[in-house]
Amino acid sequence: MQPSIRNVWYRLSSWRFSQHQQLLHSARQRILGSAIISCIAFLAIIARLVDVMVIRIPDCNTGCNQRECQLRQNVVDRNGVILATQLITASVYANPKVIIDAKEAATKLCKLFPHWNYDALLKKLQSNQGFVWIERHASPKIQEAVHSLGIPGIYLQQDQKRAYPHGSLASHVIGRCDIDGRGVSGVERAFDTTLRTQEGELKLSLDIRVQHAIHNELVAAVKKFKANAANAMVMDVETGEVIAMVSLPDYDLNRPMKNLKSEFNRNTLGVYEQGSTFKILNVAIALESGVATLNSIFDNRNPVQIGRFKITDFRVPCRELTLVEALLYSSNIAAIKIAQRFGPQVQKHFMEKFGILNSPTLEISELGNPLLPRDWRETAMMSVSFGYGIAVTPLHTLAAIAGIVNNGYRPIPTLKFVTSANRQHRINSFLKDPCVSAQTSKIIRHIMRMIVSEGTARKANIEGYQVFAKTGTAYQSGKKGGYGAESDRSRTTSFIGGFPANRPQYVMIVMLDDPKAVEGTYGFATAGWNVAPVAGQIIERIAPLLGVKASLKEEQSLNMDGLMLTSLNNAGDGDH
Amino acid sequence: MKRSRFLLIILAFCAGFGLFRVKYQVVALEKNHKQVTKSIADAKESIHILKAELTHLNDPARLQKLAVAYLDFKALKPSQIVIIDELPKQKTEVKVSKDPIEALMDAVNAVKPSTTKSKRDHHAA
Repeated sequence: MQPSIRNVWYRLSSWRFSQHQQLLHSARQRILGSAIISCIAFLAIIARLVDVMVIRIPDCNTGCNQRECQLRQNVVDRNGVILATQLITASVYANPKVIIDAKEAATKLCKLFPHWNYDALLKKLQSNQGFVWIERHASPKIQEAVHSLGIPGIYLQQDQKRAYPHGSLASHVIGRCDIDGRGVSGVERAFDTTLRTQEGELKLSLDIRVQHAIHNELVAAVKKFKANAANAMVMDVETGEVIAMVSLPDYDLNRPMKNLKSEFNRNTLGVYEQGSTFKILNVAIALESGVATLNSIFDNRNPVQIGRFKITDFRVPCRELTLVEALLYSSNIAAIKIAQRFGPQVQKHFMEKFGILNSPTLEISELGNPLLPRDWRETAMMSVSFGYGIAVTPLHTLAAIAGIVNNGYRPIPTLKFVTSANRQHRINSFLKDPCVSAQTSKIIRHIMRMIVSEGTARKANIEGYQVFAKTGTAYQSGKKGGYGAESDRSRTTSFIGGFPANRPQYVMIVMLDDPKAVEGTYGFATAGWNVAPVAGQIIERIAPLLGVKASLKEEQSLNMDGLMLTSLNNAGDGDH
Repeated sequence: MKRSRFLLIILAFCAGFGLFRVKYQVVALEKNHKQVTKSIADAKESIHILKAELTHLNDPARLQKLAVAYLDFKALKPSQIVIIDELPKQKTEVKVSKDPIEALMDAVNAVKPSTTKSKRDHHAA
């Protein structure tokens, strides 16, 4: 019996022992489980601490708080003058669900905001919504008045507003933002992401002093010559930086909705038949392709027929002209004769080299595509030779001329400031494929200088700056095509040139839309009588601002060694 | 044993007091830091607005109006600006024959200092 009791006792003990072992084992498991969970939790905390204290620390070091970081960056000109800035304002909003007496609130608010109609405001305040705007970007006075009213349910919310201290000046370049601060045109649109996300101001190539001088002169010119519109641009011939870009009519950027029609940028979006200024390209092609020399003779005694149009000249001597004379007198007939020597294919090839055939390059999105001849054959070539049958933006023409006068190196226009450190690098990037040779460039500059000193652009001859230019008067085509009767024709007069001729620094284009003959122009409304003097006044004002040294050493510095320029009064070598 | 316990209690009290003091100092400094940060942000905002206002006041159109109204200045003509390097270099010295009166004056000036000197010497003696 006893062994059986002992046996039972032994079994019970071993069962208890195994139970105990099992409990210990599960306890150990639980402890291990909770230790692992704690470790994971601690690791997560450590990871978060590293994230906050190590990885994200540069945010704190920049010293800009959240409010500043959210501000859209300033746009400044090349001298650091603010063109667009962000102001912190407050906007008034209502929570209709909280408003106790909507009628009383509407009456009080109507006194504060006279533009609000009482019924419309009451309807808004009685709506079921939890948020309605009352006034965006309220002035500090209004903000204080809203505070003083103390209407429950009417609140102020911090807001931002884009401000343009110069109003309408450079409106087409800067562009505008919508009410929520997103760029919708111009630089504001082109650099929208940069302005919103990156630090530091955006420096443009514009010089606001030059911009103002040109704006001022153009406004006066539009008034004086009763023109419909006007536009002008100045560009650094080496870097392609656009120093000024004025398009009239313009609009006040602080009140853009008032004059949205004026948002059209004539410099980059408008395409126009450029007229006689294209003759520079024509002569450059002739010289570059080797079909003509300076002494080549072109007969302009008889008009040329292109389709139903009879091409004649305006006040050009009816005789044989040299190449220089053809450009100096701006002969349409001679231009055709020149083009006939190189033919349409060569013309098209060079137009591509001058960048005429593609959309212009600039950071802003308001860019116009050129209107090119459908069939670039003999007829098209003839009209293109004197600037008709092809419509391009003034930016196209300016960039092409910049290339021709800058020893063939055509700069790519830009609105971004080029620092002195990057200047040479940028210049070098244009030195790859010259559109014309340095020799052709020199000749063209010299002829253009002659046009200013003794040709159609005499009124732009500002002593000391060796201005070189070409004027152009183009008839505007009507809506139905054609140019209308002689008496009803509208003109676009243009001036394209630069200074100084010995080593060009700046090129510019000035255009007037349908200027009229006024007192002092002796019944003329051609470029030499209106746009040339305006360009002269502009150069006189901007050249000192741009730091161009006036030199009275005139043509000696042009150094035309080896160039046999035909005298104006002599016929050439009979090279017909 | 008792002494060490007593020391430990004293140390614990000191540590507690120190911690209490540091905590309140940190709270005060944090408050101060917040205020300074806010005033910096306000100052920056004011500078921002003042810069915008200054730019507005320096608008070239406005300055031109004021200059026309109150100044009698005119823009320099290119002919009024001369670059020093472009000035003709003086090749020879200009010789001007002296007129008799000038020669006489020179002679007087040459004699004068010695007479005054002798007078001064005499007075000193």
